[in-house]
Amino acid sequence: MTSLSLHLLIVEDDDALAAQLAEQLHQSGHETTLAQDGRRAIELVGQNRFDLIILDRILPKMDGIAVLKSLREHQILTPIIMMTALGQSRQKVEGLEGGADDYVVKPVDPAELNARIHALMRARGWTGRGSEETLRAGDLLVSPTRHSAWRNGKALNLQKIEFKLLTELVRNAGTTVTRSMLLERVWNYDFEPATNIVEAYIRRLRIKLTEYGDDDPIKTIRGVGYMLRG
Amino acid sequence: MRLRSLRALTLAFLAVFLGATLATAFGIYFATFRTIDHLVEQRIASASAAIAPEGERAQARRIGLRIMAAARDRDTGDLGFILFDHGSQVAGNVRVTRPLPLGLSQVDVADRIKGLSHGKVLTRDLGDGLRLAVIAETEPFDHYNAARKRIYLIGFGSIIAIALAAATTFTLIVRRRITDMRTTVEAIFDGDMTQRVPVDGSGTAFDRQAVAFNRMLDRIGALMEEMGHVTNGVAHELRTPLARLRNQLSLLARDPQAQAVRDRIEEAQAEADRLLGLFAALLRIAEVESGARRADFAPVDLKALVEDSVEALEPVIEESGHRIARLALAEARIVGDGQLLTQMVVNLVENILRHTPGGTEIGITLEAGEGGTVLSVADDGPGIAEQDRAKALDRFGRLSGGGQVKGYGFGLPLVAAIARLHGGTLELEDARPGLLARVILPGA
Repeated sequence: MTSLSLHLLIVEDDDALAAQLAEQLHQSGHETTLAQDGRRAIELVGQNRFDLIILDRILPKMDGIAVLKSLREHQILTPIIMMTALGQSRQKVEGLEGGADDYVVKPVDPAELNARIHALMRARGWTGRGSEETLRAGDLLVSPTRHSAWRNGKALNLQKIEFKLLTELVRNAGTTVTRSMLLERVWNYDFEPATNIVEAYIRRLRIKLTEYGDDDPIKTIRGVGYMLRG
Repeated sequence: MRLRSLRALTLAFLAVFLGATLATAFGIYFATFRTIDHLVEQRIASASAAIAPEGERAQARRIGLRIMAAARDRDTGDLGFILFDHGSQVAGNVRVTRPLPLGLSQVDVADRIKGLSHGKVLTRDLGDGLRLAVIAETEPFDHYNAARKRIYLIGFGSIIAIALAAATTFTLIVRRRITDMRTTVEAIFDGDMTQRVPVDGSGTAFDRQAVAFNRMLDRIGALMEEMGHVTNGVAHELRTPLARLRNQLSLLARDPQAQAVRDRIEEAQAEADRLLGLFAALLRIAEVESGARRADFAPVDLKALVEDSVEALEPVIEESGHRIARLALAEARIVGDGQLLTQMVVNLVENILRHTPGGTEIGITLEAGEGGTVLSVADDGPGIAEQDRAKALDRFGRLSGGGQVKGYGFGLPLVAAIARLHGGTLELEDARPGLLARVILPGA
């Protein structure tokens, strides 16, 4: 994964959890600032420039959604990842409707969080490789509008889901995409199936991508997800 | 007819009340008539006997004198007397234009007797060609009967109108209260546990009933919240240290020093993932059972949803050596939660993949009929023994039961919870051989 060093604001009232998150994000190369409640978070955002905010949904003094809405109302467009409780889909919907860019479910898997931070920063900084209608990653070319993909100029015969999976990998080429990110974005699932359908589809995709003797461009990041070579 | 509805009860009450009132009105009306007739008959009989007593030899002159006296008398002055001699009127204070029959008969305005609209006449044969007729009015004044009808109509009509208005008001009040209660129950059923029956503080029976009902809801709400907190609390509390453990294992696996035991670390990590998955399933069931997701229900094309779910699972079905032998899907649309319905279909198929050997064939059918929409997912694997099927659907039964059902996970209990959220059911049956899981959802 390409290293990205960001200044992150973690808004979390559980000290132990906040400290653990900070440590793990530090290990991934980021600098972190902690805020224990919503009001402090707003103060800190006013005084500093953060690259991204990780915001808990349930907070003392000022609720996570209220913080989110207040920031967006003040035209502070810093990317925000909400932390929501599992089994509370409503919180996720409220967060996304309130202007959050993405969400993670607590307890947070740091690798998952880091992957989402990268994906978000990449999406924000996206200038496009290739034209607007085509996405390019190395020797791979994908045209979402034409539902077609090519490797080294040779057309790939992909089924609907395989095509959506490749598009998502190409869109995030060079960064890790986790299993749950793929389930959300390719399959539109808000749950994790018991069987590993992501792995099964990656296997199928690999067979099709290496059909003409090319090497495998998809790297498995053990215990986290997959990364397409950039 | 069974009187179950409020409308039927009110209508029945009104019909009985109307019948009773009309019967009373007619009864009084005719009884009054009969009584007056009877009294008048008695009166003319006694007046006739006074003028021509039984057994006395009749003499025209004497009777004529008695008639004149009676006509002057205050007691009998309002009566009419006529003495006929061989059909001619020879004495009397009134005249008639027709011959009167013997015995009692009626006279009315057609007889053109001055001052009489309705009356009775008693004609007696006195012997020697003499006949005495005594006439009395049955009405105290002219057109009394029409006036009496009006009085009855106004009197009894008012009673009926008042009863109708009272019954209608009563029905409206009762119906409003019942509607209030039903609206509350429906809102709660739709997942809004905050709804309560309106209370106006009047202290009436209805109000006290509403207060008691609301207190019951408060209690149920508190218990549900407590149960939800306990379940969620336990699951969240356990998930946090588990997630931390998994993170530690993940960091350890990447540590070059741990290279030699990396496979074992990854096994431990997979075990932690499995446990986290179980808690996720428990929390998902709790979320589904809370009913909160009903708020986001939308129309769903069930046929397309099943097709997409099967397509998504196709590689894992193939890799595990299973086969979709039958896929017969009829058009079916319901109102529901697309995500949950997808998870339901995925779980039913995954349940087969996880618990039947390779080579097992899968059949999926979707039928829409008047009774609702039926999704059947069957396999020809080993199936579940009849006595274990109920346990396979009970998320806690599985934890305490063990035995054959062990290892069935929370897949089927979650399917059952999703079916219930949509007002449907999950039934497990013998597919001879194998298991047939049938989800019956209302609407087609």
